[in-house]
Amino acid sequence: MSSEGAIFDLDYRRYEGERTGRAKVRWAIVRDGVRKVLGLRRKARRKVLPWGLIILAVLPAIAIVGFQVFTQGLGADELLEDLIPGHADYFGFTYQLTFLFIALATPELLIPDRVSNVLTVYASRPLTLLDYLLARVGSLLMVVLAFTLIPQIVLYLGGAVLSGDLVGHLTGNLDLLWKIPTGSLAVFATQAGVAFIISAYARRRGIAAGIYIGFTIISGGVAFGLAETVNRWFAIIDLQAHASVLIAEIFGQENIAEGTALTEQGISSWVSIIAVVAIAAAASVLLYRRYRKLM
Amino acid sequence: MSFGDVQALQDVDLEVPAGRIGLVGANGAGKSTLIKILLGMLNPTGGATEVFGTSAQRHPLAVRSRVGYMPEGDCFPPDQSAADFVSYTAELGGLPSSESRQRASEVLTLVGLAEERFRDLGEFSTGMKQRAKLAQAIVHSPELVLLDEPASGLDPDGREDMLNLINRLGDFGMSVVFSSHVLGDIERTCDWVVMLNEGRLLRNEPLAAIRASNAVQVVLLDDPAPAVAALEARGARVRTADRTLDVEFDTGDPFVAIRDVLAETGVGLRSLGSKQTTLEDVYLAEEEYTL
Repeated sequence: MSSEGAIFDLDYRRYEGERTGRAKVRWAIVRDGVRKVLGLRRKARRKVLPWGLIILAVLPAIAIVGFQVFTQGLGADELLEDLIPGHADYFGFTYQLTFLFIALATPELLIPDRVSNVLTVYASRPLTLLDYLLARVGSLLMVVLAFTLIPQIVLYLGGAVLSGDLVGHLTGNLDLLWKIPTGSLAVFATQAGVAFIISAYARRRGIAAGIYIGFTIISGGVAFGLAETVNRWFAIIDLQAHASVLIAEIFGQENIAEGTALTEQGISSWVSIIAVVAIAAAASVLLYRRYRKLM
Repeated sequence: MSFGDVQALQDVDLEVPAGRIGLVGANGAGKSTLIKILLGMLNPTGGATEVFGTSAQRHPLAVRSRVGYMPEGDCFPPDQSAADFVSYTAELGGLPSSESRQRASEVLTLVGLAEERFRDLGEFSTGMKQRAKLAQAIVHSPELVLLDEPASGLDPDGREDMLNLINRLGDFGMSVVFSSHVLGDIERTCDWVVMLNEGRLLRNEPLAAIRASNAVQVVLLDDPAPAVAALEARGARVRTADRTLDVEFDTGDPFVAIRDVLAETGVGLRSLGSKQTTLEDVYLAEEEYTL
């Protein structure tokens, strides 16, 4: 040990290392959005709703796998096969939860930054408005994909393990590898646009979530009524029906969309695809115009 | 620069050197607008702005990567800790995430928030918020920091600490543009002054040049009227406030002239010396002139 010592006052240390590019900055905003939505690095009460919904979405999948384990040796596999929901059915089951999750997550991504004037900080950093908005959409996409995929993965892996032929199950269900993410993407695409627009104007998170939930539910009822009485094409304003139609199309299970205004009126699934793309495009333009005035 | 019918800045043509620049003016003088133009956050309706030789309008991202900004109002998410937020703003400024947390910790310590850095920003007092705002403005090692009214809302001790911090920024290799309507704060911290009034440029020069004055201040014991008349007869410009006179001659030694006038008129003298010009004197004189 040296007898001589020195105390250094490091004071302010300039950063002389390399600077990251805009891609990394965007990724930082995506990560920040994910943390906001999930309440990570926030107080415990901020975690209750998002994690409560996630648990509600995953628990049935775990229960289904558990039920399969329990009934495996009973020799009633063929009888139970019809009772146990598949991946497409599970999308139908979690769809309402996903809808609630989007209703809670989207205001969290946009409103606090605007109301607390954090946008000023973003505007002073080397990033564009488009970087910010794309990253926020990316955050929602990530959490919604995770929300819909995790229970599907539980089902998929549970089925693979229970089949006793892991490789055989995986290769025999390769189509699920694209169907499950595409189904999640379809749910996101049908819901996110409207949710973002409402959050871009509302000043309180609870109000934004309420308006979004109300709008979506009412649009379904109105679509049904108007399609029956005025013109069948009014069915296209039922947002939730588009998601059901798209999931039914992706999984090739028409029963998932049965009873919706769109199927009742015999409207093609192509119309749903066009409607979803049009809603997303209109929402993007409105969102950009709204934020161009703010940043 | 205009907002609808309101001209926020007009005919502002200036160039400032590196260092500590004071941006002085009353509320509504155009200080915040000028800062936002420098950052490329606002585009002027005419003219051009360059920061470090780069156009703030054509290449705002290049400018912002070298500049830090402390806004006048709040800019914090209330449910996030100071350490998390400052670290995040470091990443937004282009620092790798591995470095950002360490930097945030160091900078929060520097501004005096070491103990409070894990508390939510929503629980911060005004003084703590001002310090945290300064921390987010300097965490990514900018070459220039734009501070918009950094001492507003602070108590005397907080103001003192903030001004000391601003003084130290120069030692860290940062230039500072410090906007304030409190002229004394600018005098204490800056070496160059840009003075604005109602969107127009009044002065743009070193503080030393602004404070330099040829005036002599004379405090008399008796009625100053005879002395004022005699001084004006010799070509002096005289401002009178009670028995205090500010006397200025274009040529000649003012002290000799005053001595002669006092001897002629027999007016008693209490004190005589060079007048110390403050920014406030200059600002009020300029404002009066423009009115």
